[in-house]
Amino acid sequence: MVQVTVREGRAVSDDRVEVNLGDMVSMRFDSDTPLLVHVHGFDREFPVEAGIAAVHEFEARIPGVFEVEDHLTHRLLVELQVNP
Amino acid sequence: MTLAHGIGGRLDLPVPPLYFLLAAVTVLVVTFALLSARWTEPRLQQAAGRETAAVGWLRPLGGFASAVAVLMLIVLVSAGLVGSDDPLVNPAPTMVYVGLWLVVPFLSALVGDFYQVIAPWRALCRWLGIGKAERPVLAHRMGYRPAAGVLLAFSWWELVSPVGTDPAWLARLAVAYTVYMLACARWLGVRSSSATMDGFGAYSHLMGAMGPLGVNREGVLVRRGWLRGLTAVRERTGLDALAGVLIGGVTYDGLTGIPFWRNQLAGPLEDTLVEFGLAWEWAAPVVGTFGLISTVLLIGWAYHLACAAVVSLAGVPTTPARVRMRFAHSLAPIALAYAFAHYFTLILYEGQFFWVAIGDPFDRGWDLFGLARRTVDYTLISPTAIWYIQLAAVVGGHVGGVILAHDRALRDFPGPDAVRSQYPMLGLMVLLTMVALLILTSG
Repeated sequence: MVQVTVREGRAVSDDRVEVNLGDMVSMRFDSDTPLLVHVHGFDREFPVEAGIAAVHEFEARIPGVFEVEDHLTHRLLVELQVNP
Repeated sequence: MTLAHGIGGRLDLPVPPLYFLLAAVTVLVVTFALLSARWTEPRLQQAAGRETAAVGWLRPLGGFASAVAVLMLIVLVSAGLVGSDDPLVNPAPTMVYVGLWLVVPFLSALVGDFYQVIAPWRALCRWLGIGKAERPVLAHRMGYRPAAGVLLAFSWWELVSPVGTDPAWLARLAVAYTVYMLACARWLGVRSSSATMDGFGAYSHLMGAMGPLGVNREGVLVRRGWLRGLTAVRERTGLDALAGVLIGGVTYDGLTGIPFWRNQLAGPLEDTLVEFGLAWEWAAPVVGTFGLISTVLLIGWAYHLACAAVVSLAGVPTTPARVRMRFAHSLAPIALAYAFAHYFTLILYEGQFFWVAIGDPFDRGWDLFGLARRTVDYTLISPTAIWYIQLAAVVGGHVGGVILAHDRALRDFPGPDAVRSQYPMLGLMVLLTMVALLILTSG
């Protein structure tokens, strides 16, 4: 489980999270402001409501480092490092 | 507080320490092997090249490419202004940051300075009849300095400014730059302004000098050995600044990708600024501006130091300014290697967005090339292959730089001191290469 905590638009959780190729990644977003999360590379975009934790699951099927950003502010939330 | 990278949403995996060690050892061995090799006479310094039979199809090809380039500029501006504001759906950011900024200089190094033929503003000058009066003396006096300034500003736009990948802002920038180049051509003449005022022209000129095709003083197409053209690159003031900006820009981009840089250096600095009352939207660009300029200055300063040390070891009377001018060309392969190692996967992967985006440039649901459903294939090459290519590029660039500096030292400082005089320059190159390797390892 990758926990991403956002307070006042800023990520206060880990900067980079490592997973292995083929893992099911489960990302849990917890924010006090609304977010529009975009996971680069995996091309996933989903809204997160303020104060309501959202869990998003997908398979890490591409190796590389992928930025997860908030498309409302273009701030970096976390980097997902998928090791081969 | 870090902003996400614009179009480089996918970044390369850090190079494993073992690969780093392998490359670092290779660099040291190659450097010392070359010093002790029986390379005691300058071999690269006659770069005139052999005239090739005037290739008949090159001229129409050039005309065609130049028309395509003008069309691309028009698509870039119109798509940027009316198309999607998503930097990956709109073709404009990929055209600028992958096409103009990476593909053009890399191809130049492979072929020769073809940008001078296709530069859209030059075609516009021809059609509008602008810039026929050349002022080569004034251009020579300014040298590469204005171009280096343009490239620094462009790097700032890409890496620091908050609107770096915004398509509409890129479109406005492209219009402003075209107007700027037309004004420069009117003032200095088309040819005189191309490597002086045009940052991309100077970049392509420097990279293209490595390529096997060139144009000699009589305007005849010549063929020459790879790298050789660099020894005849026009020596004008600011050549070292040009190389410094190119190396510094990539270094800065690499540094911002390292978690340590963000969390321990840039992040706390931004927080301090915010505490002092600066809005958070401004804290990141302020710190970024400072970081980019310091990186460039630091690299320039290291080059100055190395050149000053060369003067004291040269054994023949010379000046630091002259050494800086005479050895700046040897930084070109290093600049190329830095950029290639750092960005080649951007061409490979983010470049694929272009083919989808260009089929629907104005976000109207078009599918001009039947590629709309295509998604980016991120499995083109394996991470291991990427690591090998990155390291080979960095080591190759280092070897190119060392060879050019060695040959220039033999030419300029004949006698027993030629080998000794190179120690500072080789030291600098080893340092730059190690920084590049370290960035690849920790990114």
